[in-house]
Amino acid sequence: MDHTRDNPLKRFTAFWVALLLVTAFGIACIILRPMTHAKVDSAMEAAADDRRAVRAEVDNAQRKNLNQSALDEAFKAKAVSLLKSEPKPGKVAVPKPAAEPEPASE
Amino acid sequence: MTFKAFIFGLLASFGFPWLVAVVIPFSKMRALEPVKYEEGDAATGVFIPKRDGRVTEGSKVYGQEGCYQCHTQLIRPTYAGNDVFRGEWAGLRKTLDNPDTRRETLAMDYQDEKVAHIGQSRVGPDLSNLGRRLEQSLKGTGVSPEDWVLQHLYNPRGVKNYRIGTQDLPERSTCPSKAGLFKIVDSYGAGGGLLPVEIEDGKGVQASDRARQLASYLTSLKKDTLGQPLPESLNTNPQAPVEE
Amino acid sequence: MAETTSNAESNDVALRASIDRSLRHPVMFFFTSGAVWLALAIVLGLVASAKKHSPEFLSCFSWLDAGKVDGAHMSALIYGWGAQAAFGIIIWLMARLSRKECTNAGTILTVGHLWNLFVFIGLICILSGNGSGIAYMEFPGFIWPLLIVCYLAITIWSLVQFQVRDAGHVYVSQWYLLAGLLWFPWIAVTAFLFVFVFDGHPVMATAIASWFKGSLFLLFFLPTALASAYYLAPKVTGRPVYSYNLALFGFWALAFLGPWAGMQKLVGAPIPQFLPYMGAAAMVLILIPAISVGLNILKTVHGHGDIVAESPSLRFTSSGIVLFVAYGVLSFVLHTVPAMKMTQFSYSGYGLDILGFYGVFSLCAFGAIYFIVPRITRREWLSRRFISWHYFLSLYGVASIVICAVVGGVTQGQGIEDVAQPFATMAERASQYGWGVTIAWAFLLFANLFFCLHLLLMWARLGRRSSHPTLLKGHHTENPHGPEGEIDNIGSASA
Repeated sequence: MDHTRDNPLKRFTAFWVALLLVTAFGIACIILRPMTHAKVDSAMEAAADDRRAVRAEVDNAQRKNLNQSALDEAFKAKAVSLLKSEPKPGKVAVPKPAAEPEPASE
Repeated sequence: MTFKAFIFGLLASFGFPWLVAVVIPFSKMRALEPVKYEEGDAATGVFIPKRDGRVTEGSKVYGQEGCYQCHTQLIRPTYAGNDVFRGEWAGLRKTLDNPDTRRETLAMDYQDEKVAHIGQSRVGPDLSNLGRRLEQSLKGTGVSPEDWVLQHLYNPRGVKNYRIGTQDLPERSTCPSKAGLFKIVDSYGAGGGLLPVEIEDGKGVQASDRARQLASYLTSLKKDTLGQPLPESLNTNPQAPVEE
Repeated sequence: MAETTSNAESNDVALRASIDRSLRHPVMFFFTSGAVWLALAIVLGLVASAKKHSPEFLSCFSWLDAGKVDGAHMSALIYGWGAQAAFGIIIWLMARLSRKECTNAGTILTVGHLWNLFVFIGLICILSGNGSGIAYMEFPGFIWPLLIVCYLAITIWSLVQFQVRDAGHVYVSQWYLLAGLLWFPWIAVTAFLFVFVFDGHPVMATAIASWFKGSLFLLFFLPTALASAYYLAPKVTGRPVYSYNLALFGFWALAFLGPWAGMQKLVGAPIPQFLPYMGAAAMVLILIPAISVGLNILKTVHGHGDIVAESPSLRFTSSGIVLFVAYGVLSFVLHTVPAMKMTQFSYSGYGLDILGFYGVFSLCAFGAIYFIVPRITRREWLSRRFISWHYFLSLYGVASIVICAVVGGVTQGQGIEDVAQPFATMAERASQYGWGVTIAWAFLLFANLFFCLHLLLMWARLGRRSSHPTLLKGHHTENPHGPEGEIDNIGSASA
């Protein structure tokens, strides 16, 4: 009887070949993972997209209608008027507190 | 036929259907486009189906209890069957109070479930729109759909108020009882959570959490509109050939 | 010259005996535990069927609720009985045909016990309401990878044996064995990953579970049955297979059709339309391999009616093959487009499943068991009458189930399609046929009690010590099993 095909090395190789074969489509599932695990758009996401579009529109409109130079001018004018209304020393009597308590140690 | 040719033949003859019937449809089906309302629809934006009830848990209980063995949840298109025209399986028929809501099943009808309970056999009726039918049938009786379902699960042949045509359902129901989902407790101290079922004195029937989840799921089955105005692009109501 | 021939022959007999001895324990374990599971599965089937028409039957046991018991019934039948019978046949047949002793009997036996344990746990989970709730894959998610690993540990040695076989002819049986050995893990791993692990659309999970069930039968159980038939028919009649080319054609026809089948359950469901119709088309075309295999095997045994009548192995196997042709014809009829409307959600699918699983696979497996067990136990079957009863009750039972389920199913489907009829009327009409199915299961239960008892007695080494195999008709001087049939011609029976 011909036993040349049967030796431990051959059995070892055959075992691994067999293991590779039986798991072939398991391995294929892992290789094709991008197909089965790609990110997808859910309805919730799509609804969120709508909300984001509204938000962007509002932001844009706000940015467009915001007149920065006029605002700056208005602030400047207000600042000048505030400066002018700054009280001068000696005009208003500030009552002195009788005895201020010592601040607590730090 | 050498060993290599044999293995190659097996890999090819299995691999092609594997790719075409399993992997590619799987990846396409998980990436379905969300549906948007269009001009002329009753709402705007994206259509997000809403189902009340504990759908995910209830759907799991439905599967674990094997309800799918005798009940389907699929209204087939007319090329595959007459489901749309049977009773009120597919939604409500047109009456004075409501429009015709019947339609075929869509992919989004199974949203939030782990697995679509298509069903094995129609020993019992299709349940795609059970919640809608109950709501309609129990109108004015003072029984809530949830209570009715719980009573039906406990004792399918003892519950009243639900009629098909002129016949009370309980007279002819062949649904087995799911009494295992209920507990017999002392009615004293049980609170208000007992079913209106008469058993021995001093005892009452209480629904378990699983029974409540299942009832919540079953009453949520209103697939005709999915809780929202349905976009016209999803309206798969075929023209009925003959009005009954 | 004559001396060398007889020397080679006695070497051959010694080799066969040593192969049988090396596989004695695992194969006997698979067959006996499988037979016990079969009896249990039939009891569950009887209960499940009874509950369809008599809802109050056994309603005091909530763990036997309708629905759960259906899933438990099919799971016990497929994984308890079917898979284990297939394992026994595969490892014995592959060892014999590759002419290699099994060197891993201990591992196989140990893992075989684990397989039983996992099937048992799975069934307990189903009956206690903790199954997966997925049609056709009712075992909870964690059971599946365990079963797949057990499968690999049981069968991978057969693949190795094939690779280290002595150079020479590869038999038709070996194609089927080899292909079935590879198809099972391909299908099971894919289905497990896509249904339980990957997050996809719920309809696709259902579709893939249906595909799993459809292709598991066509690509694992059927090939195992056909491998056994292609081995036994020539072996017992002592003739070569009728046509090698026809065998080749039948094999590749099955290989190309099998992986498409299964999704026909989802006609009209919201999945790509071609999927269910490809499934239905595959089920229609399964008639082609059925006819080619049927023709081939029946032509091989043609003209040996006496042997078919008296050899239990050949009688069961030939009946299984005839039923395979019937399966092909029925599948053809039930899956045409007009018929699908009526059969999709009716009892008839169940009828076809039982015809395939009991009528084709199990009858062929019984044939193989009646052939293998005397060789590995070195004892002959005890009772001709037990085998006869097993045969006739099985045939009668399976025919009744299939006829009642298919006719009842078509009636039921027709009733549902006719919207002018109230649903309840149709349901009542169908339940009459349900009674028929229940009674038929009782016949199968009797059949398998005989079988199970007989096999357990053989397992307990209480078989007849004789060199005359148990035949179904009177004694013959000529042994239809050939010289190999005389099991006591080498060594002592105590080995």
